[in-house]
Amino acid sequence: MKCKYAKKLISPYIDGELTGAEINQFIEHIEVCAECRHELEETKDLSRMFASAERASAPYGFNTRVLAEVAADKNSWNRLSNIFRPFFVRAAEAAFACIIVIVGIISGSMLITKTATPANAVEIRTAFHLDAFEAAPPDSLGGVYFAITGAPDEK
Amino acid sequence: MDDIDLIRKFKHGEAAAFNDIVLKYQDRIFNLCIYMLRDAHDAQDAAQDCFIKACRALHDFSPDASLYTWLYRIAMNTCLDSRRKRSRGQTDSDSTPEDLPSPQPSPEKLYESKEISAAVRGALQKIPEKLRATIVLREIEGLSYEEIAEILDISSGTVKSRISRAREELRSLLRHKF
Repeated sequence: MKCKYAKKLISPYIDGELTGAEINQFIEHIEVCAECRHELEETKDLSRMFASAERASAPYGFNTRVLAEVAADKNSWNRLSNIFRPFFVRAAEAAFACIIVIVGIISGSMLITKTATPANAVEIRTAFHLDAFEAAPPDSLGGVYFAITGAPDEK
Repeated sequence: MDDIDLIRKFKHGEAAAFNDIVLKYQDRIFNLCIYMLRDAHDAQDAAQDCFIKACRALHDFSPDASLYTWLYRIAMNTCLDSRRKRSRGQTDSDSTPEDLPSPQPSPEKLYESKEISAAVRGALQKIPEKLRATIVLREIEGLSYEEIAEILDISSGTVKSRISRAREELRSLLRHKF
């Protein structure tokens, strides 16, 4: 094994990531190569240094703060959805009302077209016309008023 | 209670299950963040963000995956984002690290481990971000190459070469401390 290759195996060897055959070849090389052996020892020292470094613990009350933040986060999402919810509800209501009116107009029109015969078609259409309503029948208060004041009776 | 049970309870609306997840992993995640960011306040913010992100995404978490690998991935990405944001503004990466809350052995040991930690964290800040992320997961968290590959979304071969390069750079930075 050449030094260049052996040096690449130093880390995987320390970390237990070499296979059986590689381990044997690597150890054979290390036993005869002082330079690679020195590099292996230095790398082991580095790992020992990491191992003896202090491990930090989360500060006291960390989980409480996380849960409070999570709750605040959820509330902000709920507030955001509440802002838009009335708009969506109102839009849906308006759309539903429009659909009802349109369906009513279309079905009414179809009803007239289907039920009317040529003889009564004019009569039906006239029934829906505003002229069919007498503005002021003679026995109504308006009719009496017009009779006194002599207003012209359009009928 | 194992992770699968905790996740199942969380998905069924048991808020206490998330608290248990935080309690179970908070030290490991905070420790990872401190070695990635050095500053205790930044580490605390990053660890907190990690759990908030996890809470948002936990409903979609697949039970086939490992929870700690998934949390480490979120934590690592949060730390990298935090460093990028900090480097866009002002940065004081060589500032003195703050005292960390940690399990306290004897005063001598404590002094020694604090000194070593300070030296290690200082050296870590001097190596490229990708190498730092890889070596921290290996040396601090003791993860296998396969687990590191999964967390960083890279191949095992890349993990191997990054760890070798990271150790090479750290050896030259810390040689006087051995």
